Amino acid sequence: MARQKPNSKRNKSPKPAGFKAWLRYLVIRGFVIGSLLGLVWVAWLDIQVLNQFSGKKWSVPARVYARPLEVYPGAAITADMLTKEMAALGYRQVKNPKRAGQFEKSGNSVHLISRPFRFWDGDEAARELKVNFDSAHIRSIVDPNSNVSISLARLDPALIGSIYPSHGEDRILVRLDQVPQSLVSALLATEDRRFYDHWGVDPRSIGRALMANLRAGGVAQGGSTITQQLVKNFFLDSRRTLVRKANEAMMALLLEFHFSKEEILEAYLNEIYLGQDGARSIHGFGLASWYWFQTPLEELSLHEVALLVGMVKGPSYYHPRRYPERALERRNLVLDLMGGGSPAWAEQVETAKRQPLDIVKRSVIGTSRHPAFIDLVRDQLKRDYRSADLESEGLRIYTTFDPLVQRSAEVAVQNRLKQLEKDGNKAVGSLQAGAVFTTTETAEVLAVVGARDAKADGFNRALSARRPIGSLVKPVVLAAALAGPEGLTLASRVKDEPISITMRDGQIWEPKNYGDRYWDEVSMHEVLVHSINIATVNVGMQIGVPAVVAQLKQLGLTQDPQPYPSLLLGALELTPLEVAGLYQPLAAGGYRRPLSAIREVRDSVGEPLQRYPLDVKQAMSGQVAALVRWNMQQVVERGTARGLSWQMPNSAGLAGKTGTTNDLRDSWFAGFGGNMLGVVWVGRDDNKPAGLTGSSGAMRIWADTMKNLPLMPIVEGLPNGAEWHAINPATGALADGCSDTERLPFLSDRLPLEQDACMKKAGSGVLNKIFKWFK
Amino acid sequence: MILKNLRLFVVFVAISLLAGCASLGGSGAMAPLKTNPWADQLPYEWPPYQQSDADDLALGPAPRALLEEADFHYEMGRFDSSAASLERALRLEPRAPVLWYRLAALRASQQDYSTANRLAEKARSLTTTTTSKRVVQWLDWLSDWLVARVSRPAA
Repeated sequence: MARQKPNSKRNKSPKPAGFKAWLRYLVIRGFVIGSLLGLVWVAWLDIQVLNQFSGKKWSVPARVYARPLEVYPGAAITADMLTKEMAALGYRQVKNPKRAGQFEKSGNSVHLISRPFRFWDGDEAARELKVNFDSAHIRSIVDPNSNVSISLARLDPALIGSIYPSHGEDRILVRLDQVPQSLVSALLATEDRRFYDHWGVDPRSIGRALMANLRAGGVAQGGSTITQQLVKNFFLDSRRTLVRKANEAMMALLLEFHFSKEEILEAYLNEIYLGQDGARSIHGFGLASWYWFQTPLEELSLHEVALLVGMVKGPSYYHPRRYPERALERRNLVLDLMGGGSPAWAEQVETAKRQPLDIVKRSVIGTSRHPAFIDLVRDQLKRDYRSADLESEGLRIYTTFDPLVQRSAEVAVQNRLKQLEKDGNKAVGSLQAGAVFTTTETAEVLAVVGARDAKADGFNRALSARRPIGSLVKPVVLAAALAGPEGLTLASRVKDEPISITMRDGQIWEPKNYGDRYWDEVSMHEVLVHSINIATVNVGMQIGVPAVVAQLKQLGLTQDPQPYPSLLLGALELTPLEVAGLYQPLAAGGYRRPLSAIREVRDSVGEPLQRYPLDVKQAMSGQVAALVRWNMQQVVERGTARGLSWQMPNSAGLAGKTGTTNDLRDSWFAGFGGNMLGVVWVGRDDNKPAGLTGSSGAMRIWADTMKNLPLMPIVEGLPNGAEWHAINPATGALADGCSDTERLPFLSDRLPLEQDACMKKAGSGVLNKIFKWFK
Repeated sequence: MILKNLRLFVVFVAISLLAGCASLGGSGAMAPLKTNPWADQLPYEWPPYQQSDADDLALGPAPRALLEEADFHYEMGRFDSSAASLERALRLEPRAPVLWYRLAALRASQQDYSTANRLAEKARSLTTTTTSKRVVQWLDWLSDWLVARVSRPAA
């Protein structure tokens, strides 16, 4: 019993002692486990913060630039063209320009300050220029301060789009030192006044927000710091749960622990969502500045800065195009917050508040502006870069795109198709078009139109619509004939009567002339001038269809067409881009360069990655190219393309060829001058007859495009190895010194074998022999 | 070609005699050198056009300035920038043989002989009777230089 007492004591007392111990144990255990879990949680968040915030933070799409406009005395640039170019670049028209990106137009001169830019061949500093014009050219350029003449300057290239996944974020990264101080001031005044004083979370702001929310009976005010907002956007979703808020706060503290205020602010400026452009979301102030104002961030005025900062709270709610009044009110609130009642700021704030919103009607930045050209850039880049790199590495692509040519082509396609539909009583929207414009010698693609609505990002006919090229093949047949061993010349006589050809499979092919009209016999050069089918087939059959295929391949054809006779009349399906590639050597004296849309590529910080150097290869004899070119000039002067002269004042000296396919399904025109080449196709997507010939459809668009551009005539004469001779047009015999002759170019080693009777007679004289010896 | 020159010479002598002139007259044009005295140097480093040749090259001030810029880049060892300046000049005057020639000379100096050859052919295709004799001579020398290098690849 005696032993029970203590036991009973023990039995009584251990209960509370055991409970306490158990509780203590539980608390300590709980604390330890909780601490461990907390540590794990913090460590886990820390890993996330460090992993995602160190190094590359964003996938930045490749950015695509147009060619820089070269400004030099003698350049075929008018004051109107220069101001349009500057407007597209976001230059501001002001009185008395003071800083880069501003210009003033007065009479026949433009005073501008160009923006600095890093080109492949060196940095171009900002330059102040006074450009003086005559009617069609730059007359002189001087530095208005020193009056020193300037021989050459160039503007920064326009940003024309970007390559990004269909549902992706787009941004232009900016460094903090590129951001105007006014923007930082406005942002801190509006979003986080104590940014430089807290450690990522601001208890004072939270308390203030809490009180405000309690008073309002709901969420009326947020207490998030800029760091928390960055964490929310960068790492977390937008759900409002306690766990998420706890994660946000802890990550904000961790972010502040590991990174400087400047790094956090810079990341915020690049991360923040500021608008939506279709499937593309606009992130960061760098891109937002271009998207809303078409101007680089560093050139924004105070009222523009305030608008962007105001939109941080809700880009959709304060959308300045949809809700301009709401956006204006918010902008002015930001300006007031910025001023903070300070008298020093009062005047600037009041001036800024009087300004309109000043946003552009529609942004020129983005793939939606020039999708057809961007398609081509993407195609060419795919040879050297992975798609993932193009969409994420922030590459800078410098292209050959010419905004002036593109605009002219787009307007021409849109207006002319409408007119053609109206004139031909066709359904509105039934016609479509594809067009490619390039330089001749350097083979750079200047413009691509893939559809009548050039802004629509859909089927790109210039690059993808393969259609029979019809008579566009005839210059190639002629080239093969002039180069072949058969001794054919432009004076050769060719039969033009109805024919039937038995094919290998026993089928009979009976081609016809347009309008079923026949010439019996015709001079070779007239075959092209009037685009005569049967004569072309006869020439082709004489030299052999494989010779024509070989010529096509030499000119750059990548397909391997079967050598069927129907190929001689253009039973070969090509895209406008491929046709432009075939014609380029004809326009460049026989030298070929694969059409190129890219000049160079740089990485995200502007370091050179790759150039696409100029190289050419002889695709055909220069003499043959000159003869074909002359013949194509005749097509424009008096043949199937003579209508060009009625449509454009600068048609003299141009070369071209019309193309029409069976039942008027496809209307083609390919033509060039001394500096530019263009190929246009018009037809229907359902391949039903368009009811247009080459000259009544495509050629009109070509003319509408070129008539506003500095298209040079072809001026060069014949190269060595080719020469002019007179012939008797009825017989094709040489008739130098005779009357009633026709003057034609020939290869020097391939003159007509026959001499006209008149020449034989005249050539028998002694003096004539002496004259000929000296010639 | 030789026959044609001979004929021109005969014509010239005949006219001179008829006119009673005793001399051939000095045109002041550069007397072409028969052999290239700089054949041991890289083509881009052959003494470039002199200021006195500037008009002879028939280039506007802008491409001329770019030619000088290309030379400067070359001297600094920035061959890509040199090529970029020449290509920029070619965009302004794409039919100027001297610009194609300089690009060919640059490629030859970079030992890219096949490209140099193609560019030189292109330059030659653009020459006419009015092309500077100096440019034609450079092209001849460049062709000879390339033939010598290609036929002695190990050299």
